[in-house]
Order: sequence, then C-alpha cells, then structure tokens
Amino acid sequence: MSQSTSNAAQGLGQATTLASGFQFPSIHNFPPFYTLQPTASTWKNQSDLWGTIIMRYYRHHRLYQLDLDDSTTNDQLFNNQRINRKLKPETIQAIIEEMVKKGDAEWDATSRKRRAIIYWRKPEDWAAMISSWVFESGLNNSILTYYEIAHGENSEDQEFYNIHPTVLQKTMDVLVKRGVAATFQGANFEEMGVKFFNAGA
Amino acid sequence: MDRWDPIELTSTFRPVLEPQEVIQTTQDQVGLYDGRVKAEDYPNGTVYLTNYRILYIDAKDPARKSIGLPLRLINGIQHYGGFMSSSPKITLDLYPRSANADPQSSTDFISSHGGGGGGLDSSALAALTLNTEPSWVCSCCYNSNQGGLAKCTVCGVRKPQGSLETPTTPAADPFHFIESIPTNTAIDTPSTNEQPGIACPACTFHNDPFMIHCEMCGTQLQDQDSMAFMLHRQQQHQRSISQLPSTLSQPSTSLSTTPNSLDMTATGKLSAPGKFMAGMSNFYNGSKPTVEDANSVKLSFRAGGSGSFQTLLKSAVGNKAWENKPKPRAVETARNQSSSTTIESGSSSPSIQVGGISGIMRTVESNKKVADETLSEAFRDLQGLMDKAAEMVALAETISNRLSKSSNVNNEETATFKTYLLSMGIAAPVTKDTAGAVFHKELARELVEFILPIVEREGGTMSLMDIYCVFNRARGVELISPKDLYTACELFEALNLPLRLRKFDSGLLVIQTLARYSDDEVSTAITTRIQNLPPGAGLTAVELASAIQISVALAQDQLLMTEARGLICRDESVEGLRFFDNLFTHWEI
Repeated sequence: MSQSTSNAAQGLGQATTLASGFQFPSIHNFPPFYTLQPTASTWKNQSDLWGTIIMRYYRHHRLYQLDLDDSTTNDQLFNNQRINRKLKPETIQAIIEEMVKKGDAEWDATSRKRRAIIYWRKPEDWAAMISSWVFESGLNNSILTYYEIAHGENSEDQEFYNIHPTVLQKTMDVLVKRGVAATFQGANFEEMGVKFFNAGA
Repeated sequence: MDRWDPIELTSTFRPVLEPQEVIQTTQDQVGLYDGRVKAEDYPNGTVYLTNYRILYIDAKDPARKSIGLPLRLINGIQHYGGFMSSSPKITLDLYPRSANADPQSSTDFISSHGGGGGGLDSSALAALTLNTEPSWVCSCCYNSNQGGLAKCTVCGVRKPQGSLETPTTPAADPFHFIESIPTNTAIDTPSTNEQPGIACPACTFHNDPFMIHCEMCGTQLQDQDSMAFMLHRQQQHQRSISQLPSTLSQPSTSLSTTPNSLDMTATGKLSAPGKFMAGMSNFYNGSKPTVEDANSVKLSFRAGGSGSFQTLLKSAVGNKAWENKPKPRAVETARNQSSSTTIESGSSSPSIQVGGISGIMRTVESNKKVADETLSEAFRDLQGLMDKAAEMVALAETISNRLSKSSNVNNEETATFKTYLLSMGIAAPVTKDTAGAVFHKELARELVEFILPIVEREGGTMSLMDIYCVFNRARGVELISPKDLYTACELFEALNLPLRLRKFDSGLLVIQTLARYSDDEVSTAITTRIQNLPPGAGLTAVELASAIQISVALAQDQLLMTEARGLICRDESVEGLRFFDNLFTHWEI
C-alpha cells in the first residue's frame, strides 16, 4: 500500500478493521493526518486521501449524507481513538469543500455547509444502474414511484436500495435530461412517479 | 615609504595586533604622501592608530598594500587644516635613519621642557631670580608675581596652571646644562636668518620671531616643534643667566632688555659651544624642509577626522607604550605614569601667556584640563581593571593552551572549561571611540573573527540574540547596543565576510555561515533526521534544538521552512506541535 520506506510509515501499525468489516488504510493511524496541513501541496494530498477514505467508508456503510455534528466528528471515521486524534469540524468542512470541487460531494443548499451529500457514486452512474435495473426487470413503460425504486421489494438486493432522496432526485434529473425517463408530480417526494421509455425511444 | 613595514592581517582584513597593542582610533579614506609627493600605491585606505604603530590598510587591495609605521620613529607632528579642495593633512617628521639610535632624546626634550613655556617678554626675564619659588607672569595683565602667590597682585587673576615655573630644581643632568650654553651664533643664526619676523596668518601682523601667539589677535603662529625649540632655547637662556657671576645674578632692566649682550658674557665665561651646535643641528635636521622629503610622511584625511587623530597620535607618541612592551606586568604603572605625563604636557604646552580674550580662553581650557585630570584620577581604578582584563585574557589563553596539551584531564571537564575561556575575551574591542566613522565596519569584522568558530561549533546557525549575549560577554565592559550589532551584521555581505544575517518569515534573525545559508541543506538534514526517528515518532522544535544545539526559535523556523517545502508534515495536538515525514506525498490507496 505504502510506497514510502520511512520509519514513520512502518510505525503506523496494522490497519484498523471495524466490526462492519471496513478496513481503514494505515495512513488513518498517521497523527498528522488529523491536522490541517498548512502547506498547499501537502494539504492537497492529504485532502485527496481523506476524500477517498470518506467515500470508501460511505460506500461500505451505504451512507449518503454527512452532517457536521458531534455524532459525525466522534465517528470512528474521523476520531481515531487508537492514536488519540480526531479531526476538527473545520477540517472536515475543508475536506468536504475539496471534495465538492472535484464533484465527489455537494453541499446541501439550505444547510450553510453543515450538511453534505457524498457522491461515492456519481448521479450518472446511478442513472445507468437504475435504468438497467428497470429494463432488466421489465418495469419500463409503466410508472414507478420513487418509493418503489428506493425501498420497493424489487430493489431490495440492488445497490441503490435506500438511496438518499436527494441523490435519487439528481439521478432522475440526469435520466430526464437524457430523454430516457419522464417524471410525474406526486403529493410528496415518495409519491413522485417516473416512467422509463423503451430503449429505442 | 621605505620606512613602512608590511603588516600581518586577519582573515577579515583587520590588523593583527601585537600583545598589549591597543587600537586608539581608526579613520577611513586616508591617503599617504611620501614626503611631499602622493604615494601612488597607497591612495585610499583605513588608518589605524595603535599605541605602537600607525597602520595603513588599503581599501582596494588590503592583502598586498597594507603597511605599518612604528610610532617610535616619529619625531614631530604637524597638522594642516586643509583649504578649499585640499584635504586636511598630518605630517609626520621621522627621525633620520642615523638618529634612530637614540630616538628618545628629542622627545624627552620636548616633553620635559614643554612645561616651562613662559612669557618671552622682557618682564618675564627680569623676574628671573634665584628665589626658591619661581616667579610667574599674570596671563591677564602681564604683572610678574612672586612665586608663592596664588593670585596676581595687580588684577587678582589666578596663577595659570602651566605658567612659568622655571626650574630652580632644573637640569637633572648637568650635562644638559653644558650642552645648552648658547653662543651668539647658536641662538641668532637660525632665528635671524630664517625668521626675520612672522606674519600672522589671520591678521597679517608681523610679529617678533619669538612670539608664539600673534600680538594682535592671539592666533598661534608657530607649530609645536618650533615652539618646543623656542622654549628650550629660552630655558637655556635663563639657565645661563642663573649661572652668571653674582654681580649679574640680580636682574636688571639693562640685562633683560639686551639678552644678546648677556649671552655674550655668558659665552665668555663658559664655553662648550661645539657640542651644543652639534646637538642643535642634529635636532634641526629632523624638521628642516630640505631633508623633509626623505624623512617625513603625510597622511591626507579625505573624509575628515584629522583633528582627533592628531590628538590621539600625539598622546600615543608621548605615551611611548613601546618602551614597556616586553614587560606586560609593568603595564599598569607605566600607563598611569604615562597618562599623567600626557596630562602635564598637554596642559602646559598651549598655556603660553597671552592677554586678552585668548588668555581667558586658555584659562578656561586649562581649568577643563584640571577637571579632566580629576576625572581620570577618579576612574584610574577602572582603567587598572581594563588593563588587568587584557592580562586576564592572556592568562586564559595560556591555560587553554596548557589544557590542550595535557591529555590526562577529564575530557568533558576540559571542554566545558575551554568554553568558558573561549567566551572570556576580546582583548581590544572595537569601540565608537577607537573606530569613529568606520565603527560598524570594524565591528562587523571583529564580530566575524570572534564569532565564526562559535557559529561553526553551533552547527552553522545562531540566533542574533544568542550572538548578542556571547559577543557582549566577550567584550566585557565595552558593550554594544542591539542596533549596533544589527547594523554591523547587515554589512556582512558588503564586506564579503563569511557570515550572513538572515531573517526568517517569523521575524527571527539569525547569523549563518555561508554554507548553512542555503535552505536545501538545512531542509534535507531535517528531513533525514525525521525519517530516521524511531517508528511512529515525530520531532518537536525543542527536540531538534537540543539535538543539534540551536535555539528553539531557530529550530522552529527551520522546521517550518522544511514544512513549507512539503518535505515534512505537522501534527497538532494537545501534546504540542510535532513534525513527521510527509507520507501524504507518495501514499496511494
């Protein structure tokens, strides 16, 4: 994993593995990893590493939304009790900011940068995944609700099961834009409908 | 120029001083003249006056064109104030080579008889009696008073300090007397032939050749040498009077107004004119214009400073420090003696009795001299301490040398002790007094000489604060201000010295050797050090500071500099700021 041969790298010890089966890379045990590096180039590398770890962690745990509150900062992701280091909320915010720049995350417009959606898959990827699922299961040409897609019986084994509403909406926007589907207004978000057209259409 | 010797220089182009040699003053932009002709090879340089020598160090080519002239060769000093575009100059009359064998006689002659500078008018001569107390002439009204009186009987003006106290206990050596019996020719030839009357340079009044100050305006007419000569001549004259048969010993107006006839009588009684003539002509040769070129040197002060230089030069020549050279123990007493003689001769030589404003000015001046003397008396102990300081430094060096030879002493102890000795002393620190206008340049050179080995020992970098402490400690009582140190350090680059002043982003000022000046070396060294730490350990500024013997502030700055280059990264925690190898750079997940 590491290409460095320095003693510091050896000193990081074994990578931490969580009960959920998620394994942190050993850099997660590197004390400077929890300090916002003032040197620009160093910070770039550091924030990239954090972005990768966050996305892996969120994907592994099927998480979509990150809230800058105590429960998040005390999460094992950002709080390494083994080396007694944790990221400060400002540093997390700065990391998310870097992720937003790369399109890996998006701030919730109303949250004043206290809430973000982590795109461990891009909406385009979700769109491809959902539409292939729709066509494979012969659900095209009929109207599906958002609820059926995110929480329906047919999608239980799919990766987008329990998808975050905002991500789902973004995905639908992509599909509509491509002309693959049309959306219909419902009483609330879950009753919103979507109809997939035939592939040729 | 053949009288000058090449001198040894330090690496920073300052002169190497002999033991006990002390720099009195320094002046830059001085050119040398050989006789009356400009010495082409020595057009512009820095001149150092020490208690032994005058040293010239060329500004352009110090390595080759640096020369020194021993003070003992100097017979007379003349000052020329400069006019229009002509710079002020000091002419040094040197003893002719043949006379070098006994160069002291003439100086003795000046200093011992300089005190007798009395009025040259007839009343003064008339007042000469064989009384035990010498009589004196009032500087205000010219009344001649009995010796015991402290104030003038006519006008109440105080007896001047250096007034005519002609020797009733004169001529410690009878030889002097015989030598000095004048003949008509001896006295008259030089005066009548060469000086038929002296035109005052200020008011053009033609004064009698005997006058030293203009009768009209009080301006000094003759230089020190001829003054000394005249005083000498006058004393001989007086002595010859006192040696006359008893009929003549009582002063009378006829006698005093016709000194020549009196001289003739004296000559008739006692004759040893040949010897005197020889002595006189010998003396004259030293300053006569015809031989001047071969035996004189001129210093041209293009940037001023000639006045104070001359004063110090005179006292240095008068002090004759070289006589005490081989016996360092005797320095203190010698210094005391010589300083008191300086005061005497200094106060007496200008106190020629003249009335009017210049007379009052002179009284004020002499009062000032008295005050000076009191002050130097008061601070003599301090001076003694300073003299001892030089000895202490010498002692420290001896011990240091001895220690380095004996190997059976505990090494650590020796090292510590050596450190103490090393920080003990700069024997002759550069001061504003001795260096004047070139103070900061000289200070920079001295600083480099002193601090370079220390900075190298400290790993090539020292904070300015540390240097300030170490340097001032070594200087003893001649402390410098932080501003002076800073100004001197700023000159390192201009003077091409092997150290540099460096300002870190945090504002920390350090002195670095040229090798250390590059960030590359420092950052590489730090990165290597951090990479070789035990696994999982970081480096704090304190740890770095103690590991490579630098100050914490400096260590911190070096770490930050290395961090800014992206070579290391930081860990901020409750335990403080630690630095780690920058694993982020090549880490791939």
